[in-house]
Amino acid sequence: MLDTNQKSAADKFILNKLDRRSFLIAAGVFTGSVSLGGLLSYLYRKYKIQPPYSGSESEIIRHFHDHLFPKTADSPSASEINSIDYLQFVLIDPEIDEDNKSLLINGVTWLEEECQNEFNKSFMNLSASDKNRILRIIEEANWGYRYISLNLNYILEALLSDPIYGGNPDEIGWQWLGHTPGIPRPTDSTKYNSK
Amino acid sequence: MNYDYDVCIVGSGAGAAPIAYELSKAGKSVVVLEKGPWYKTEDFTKDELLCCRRSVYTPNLKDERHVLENKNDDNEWIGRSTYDTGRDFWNGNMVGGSSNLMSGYFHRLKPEDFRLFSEFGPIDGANIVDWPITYDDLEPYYTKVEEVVGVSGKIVDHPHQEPRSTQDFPFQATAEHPIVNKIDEACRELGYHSIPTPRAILSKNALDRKACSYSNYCGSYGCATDAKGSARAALLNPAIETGKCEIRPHAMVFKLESDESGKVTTAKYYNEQGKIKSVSAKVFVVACQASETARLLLMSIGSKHPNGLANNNGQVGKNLIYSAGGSGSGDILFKNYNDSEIAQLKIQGLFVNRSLQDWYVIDDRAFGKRSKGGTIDFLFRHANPISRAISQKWGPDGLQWGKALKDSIKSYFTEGRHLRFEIFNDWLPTDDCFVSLDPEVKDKWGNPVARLRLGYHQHDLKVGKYLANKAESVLNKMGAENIYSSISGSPPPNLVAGGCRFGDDPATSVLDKDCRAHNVENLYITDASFMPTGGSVPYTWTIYANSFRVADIINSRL
Repeated sequence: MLDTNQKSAADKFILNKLDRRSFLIAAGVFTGSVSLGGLLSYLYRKYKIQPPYSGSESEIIRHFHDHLFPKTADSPSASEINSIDYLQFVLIDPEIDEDNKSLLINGVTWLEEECQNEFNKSFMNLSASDKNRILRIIEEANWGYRYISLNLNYILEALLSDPIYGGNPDEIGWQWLGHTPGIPRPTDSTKYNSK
Repeated sequence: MNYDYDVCIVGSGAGAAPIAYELSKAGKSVVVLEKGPWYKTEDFTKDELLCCRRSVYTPNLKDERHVLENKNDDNEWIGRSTYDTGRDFWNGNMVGGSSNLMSGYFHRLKPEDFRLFSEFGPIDGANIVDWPITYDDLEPYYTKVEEVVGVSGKIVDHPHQEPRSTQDFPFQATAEHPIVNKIDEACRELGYHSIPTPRAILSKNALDRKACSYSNYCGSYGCATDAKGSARAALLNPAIETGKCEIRPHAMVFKLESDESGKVTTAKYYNEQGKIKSVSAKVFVVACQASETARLLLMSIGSKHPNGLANNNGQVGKNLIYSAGGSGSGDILFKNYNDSEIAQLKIQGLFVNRSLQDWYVIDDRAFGKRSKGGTIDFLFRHANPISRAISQKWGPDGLQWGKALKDSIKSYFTEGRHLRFEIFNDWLPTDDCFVSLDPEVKDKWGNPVARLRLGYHQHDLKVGKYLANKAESVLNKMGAENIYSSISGSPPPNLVAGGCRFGDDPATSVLDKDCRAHNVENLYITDASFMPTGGSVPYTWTIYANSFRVADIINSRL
């Protein structure tokens, strides 16, 4: 659980909304013992603010990410590397380009609209081949290409960034690829946005 | 008149730090104004997200950007903001500048580089000139950099070895990856002379700094042991210890004010809170990387400098140059080697210290008349896993995902090593490559941003392709597969010079041979801006050496 000091940091974060300095402090709350998803849920609940995605949108994104990055015999799925929590970590980062954030938030709605128009079904209920078909269709549009490309970027960040950022749990991504991280690794006081 | 300091230095990288080091050691009071933050050694980790995936070491483009001019299909120069295109032209916004993030491939210029015009003659459309100093003038300072900043390596005989006043480097070469034996063998068979690449990296504890830890994450990263000869670790830290040097981070200088005589009196800057502050000094040194140095001078209008400081002849910003050339690679696939060789190839962290300078001068009828050539450096593809994985998201039919993506990533990471080469040749100065102030786009403080016209000379590509063919022949001889190279006129933002070239004629240069502005008695410029031609190696060693030379000149006048 979050202790008193951590709540204090979170208070500052919320009171200042997405103010950069406060984000840095709040990001410092998140340690190895508290998952990123847990921290985000805590913040949303306590301050009654809307998370970037509704529950159903999160579910669509989960299907979308697991289609882009599926589980195989020797490798984890997007879900297993916490890609959605990682994406929400990206969305609350004030340093990330606002246009990209808007696309990440709106893209799920537009993807779903395309699925309804083409198949009269949600992306979640499409077969694997129809999921590929709809993604190839939206890839032809500028927004669709960027949307798929951005999600791939963040899935691969979740796969291969240091676990301190919430993805790559137990170094599962590094192990899959036999990757050796560099030393020294980031700590709570040296990681991204810790200052 | 009272001054706050003897010397005020704008910028804190390779061009600035030797001035701070030498003058503070000589007992002069020095202040360094650096736009970026002050990271300490303990702040540097091997974190790809922080280093390379977010704008931590560079300004956020929404706050500060460039406008880049490129030619469209109708041969018109079209300017677009880097915020709009996402093409980031910043690097190393911090105390110590981009020297913190360099790979430290250190080559000296050669005597021919100081007399390019006399040695090779004119080329249509290029503003080639000789330097006002010779290699002999700079040689003692190259040696000083080897000793003070710390350069490791081993001298071997080869056709284009430049003259040296010492027999070998003061520090033995860093440990090398076994693949250098394969490179050497291929070069021997081809009749080439592979040479150990000198590195600004300490192979042993020395100079109050620790030896390299071979972390496998060097270029683009700050050094966690201070083995890398950054301006911060090698020069600014000792300068601070003298008690005579003060560093002010988050100090964005936006104007150098001058008096009725034309001398600079004051540097005005915004501090971290956005408040305007000022510093007075006897001597001012500007070294904030070529395009920003020109921008600052152009913004610094005074009664004697109506077109910008030191710009009465319209030369500031002109003849900007980059490092021409490009890169290439080949796959060293494990399937072609036995288990013992594979184990050797898989070793991480050791350096591929090999270069070729056989064609530093090209004397080949198939190429044309005798011409200046360049340098080839070999290296492994950077270890950054995220960028390597993202490079696999493009398949034969556009984006790829699912099993196809995972198979590509798995193969890329586990089936071989990716040996790269980089080509360095002269980016000829032309009228189509320069810095000006953008008439519309401003930074977050409301000042005009630098507008860069990025034209290049076709000759640059001809030389680059010639060298790339030679590099490819080495990879081919080694049995590499999927060999390719890319030579283009796209400028590397971290290898920039010119814009305030030095020379004897004020009509065609900004600085005299001492790197003092022709018409500003107390203004020196010591980053790569002074270079009228760039040579065919990375610039950092030459920037350091020239700055040590100018430090002696300034010290003698104070």
